[in-house]
Formats: sequence, C-alpha cells, structure tokens
Amino acid sequence: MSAKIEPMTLDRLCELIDAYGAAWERWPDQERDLALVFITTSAEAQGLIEEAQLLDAALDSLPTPEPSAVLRSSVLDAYTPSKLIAANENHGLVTTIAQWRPRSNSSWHKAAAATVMFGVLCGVGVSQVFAPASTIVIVQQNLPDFNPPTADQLLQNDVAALSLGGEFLAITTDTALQNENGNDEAEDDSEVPLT
Amino acid sequence: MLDGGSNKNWPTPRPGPMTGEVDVSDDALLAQIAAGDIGAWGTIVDRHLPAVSRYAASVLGDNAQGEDVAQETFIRLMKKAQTWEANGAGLKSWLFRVARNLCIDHKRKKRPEPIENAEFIGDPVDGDATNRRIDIANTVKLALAELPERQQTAIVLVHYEGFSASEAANLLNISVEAVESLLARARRSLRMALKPDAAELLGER
Repeated sequence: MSAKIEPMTLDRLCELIDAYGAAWERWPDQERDLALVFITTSAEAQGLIEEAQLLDAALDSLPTPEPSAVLRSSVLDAYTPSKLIAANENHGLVTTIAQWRPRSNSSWHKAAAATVMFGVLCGVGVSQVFAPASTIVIVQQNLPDFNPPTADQLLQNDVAALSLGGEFLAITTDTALQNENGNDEAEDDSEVPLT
Repeated sequence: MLDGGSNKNWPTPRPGPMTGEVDVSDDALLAQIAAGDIGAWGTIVDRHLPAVSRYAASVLGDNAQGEDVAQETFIRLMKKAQTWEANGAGLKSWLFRVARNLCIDHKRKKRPEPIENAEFIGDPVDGDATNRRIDIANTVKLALAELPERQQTAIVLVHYEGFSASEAANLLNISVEAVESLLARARRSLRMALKPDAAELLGER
C-alpha cells in the first residue's frame, strides 16, 4: 500500500518549515519536490524560507564536537574476545573457541584433540606463540580495561601461530585433552615467559 | 536561496552513516564482532561513534560527559553483540536509544559548560569574528539545553544528525506527526530564547 501524496499547500509548507527549517534536505522525501515547486510560485513561501534560514544559521553556529582520538582509541581497545566471554558466558566461550581454531586439514576436531589454553598475565612484551595445528587455542586476558592486548592467529606449515600484541609478562598454558564428549580434561599447567 | 541552509560547521544532513563506505550491513558486522573479528568492531566504531558522541555532547552540553556516554554506549554494544538479533529497528536506532537513556541518566541541573575555545569555530584572521562566533554558539547551546528532553533529542537528531522524521519517530516511539510537532515547538522555543540576541543571531533589526 503506497502512501497517498497530498497536493502541497501553504499550510503544509508552513508545517514543514516550522519543523525542519529551510534546508530542504531535511524535508520528507515524498513531499520535497512538491514543496520546492510550490515555493517558486509563492512569495509568501519564499519569505518563510528566508526567515527559517536565520534560525538554521544560528543553530549551525554550534561547533561540531567530533570524538576525541582518546575516546576512539578507548572504544576500539575495549573490544576483546574475553569481554565477549564475560558478556555472555553461554555463547561467548563457544564463539571464542571457534575463533582460534586452526584452519587446516588435520583432525583437530577429533575427540582427543589437545587443547592449549593461554592465560595472559599482565606485564610488558610482545610475542608469538606457536602450537600444533591440532590444538584449539583459547586466549584469556586478565588485563586492565584501558590497555587490553590484541591477538591474531595464522596458519603456517600446519602450525597455528598465535600472535600477541600488547603488554604481557608471561603466558600461562594449560594443556588439556578433550574426551569424546568434547569436555576438557586438564593435563598440564605451565608458564611461558616472554623475553 | 535554497541551498540547504548556511551550514558552516555541522555537516549537511546525511542520508545515513554508510556514505562512501563499502556497504556491509551493521547486522553482518555485528555477527563478525560476535565471532571475534576486531576489524568489524573498528568499522562499527568508525561508522557510528562520531554521531553518537556528537549527539550526547549536544544533549548534555558537555563534550566530556558526551564522550563518557558514547563510550558507555559502545561498551554496551560490545556486550550486546553476542545476542544481537537483526530486526527492523537497526543498530543506529539501538545506539541512539541507549545513548539517549544514558544522557537522561547523566543530566543534572547544572548548566552546560560554556565553549571557551575556538577549536572548531575560530576565524583564523579575525579575532573579533571568532569571539562573536563563540558568543553565538554559547547562546545557542544554552537555548538548546533549556529545551525539554524530547524536543532537544528531536532537534539534535533531525537538524544535526540527519535523521529522517520516521527514524526519529522510531527512536522516540512516537508518530512522525508527533516528531514534527516536537521539532516545531523546539524551533519556536529556540527562536524565542534567541530573541534577545536576535540582531546578532538571527540577523534581525
């Protein structure tokens, strides 16, 4: 059902100008053309436009407060997979695991695939951690909000490379086996210093 | 002259936040964000953060508070990404609705901070012109701050952020006609508030 288009009248044009001002870009699409044609035939309408332009100009005198670089950086940095886990434990963990799965032809998904968990500790350093392609890598971050790290994963020569950019002192790893039901069975804990 | 107004600082009303970008939908980006794609997060932030920040700063009359609201809005979006369901309202509407509610929470009785520097409105060669522009901007800012919240939101969304009346109606959960009524009352109030400085502000003699 299409909306019925009413003919333009001075009353309706007054309503448009009262609401939207003189800038016709702000007027409703379906009425704009009719209104513009009407204005060309009406000296009264042209007077209303000129009057409205004055208020528009006053409103437009406000400066444009673009977001600061600090705000943009803070918002960008706020994003971490661990935040997603915290946001929704039921969905986030599954998503995060999927994110870090090595993409290869190996049978990582078989029931006994090893799972390596990297728990990132606070500190300073940048590192790249390699794990067999048959592993599932989960990154856990325990850093202050203002400076979260970033992580990326590449697959090279059947090896999953986890690149960590950010500030860490060390990475702790928990190696686990998955049983046939996909549940983790913790096998080993260790710490990997970043030097 | 029908040139869309003599807009010197605010951008011409925009059809939407995606102008000039590859047209990846917000919903698709949110799905990528939920899957851990930090690049998609950056795209969403760059697409919507400026408008949300401007809106909050305008409504609160304070850039710092506006940025606080914008940041909190996006923190909430990050949490929401996991459970985001594409629907008719869309991300832009969701963001502004959250920001609006946060602004209402933030609003205090104090008057907005005055504009003290000419970072965005200065005239590089005419110091007097710069001072006049700062005075005018402060007067308009105070007049905007005096508007009832719904009128203020309507005028900021439609005049400054390029929302269509139907988009604003959706956000405010009212009809298009009601939005037009809010806008008209807002503009009438602004005209009255600016009347004492009409010669300077409105070009009247």
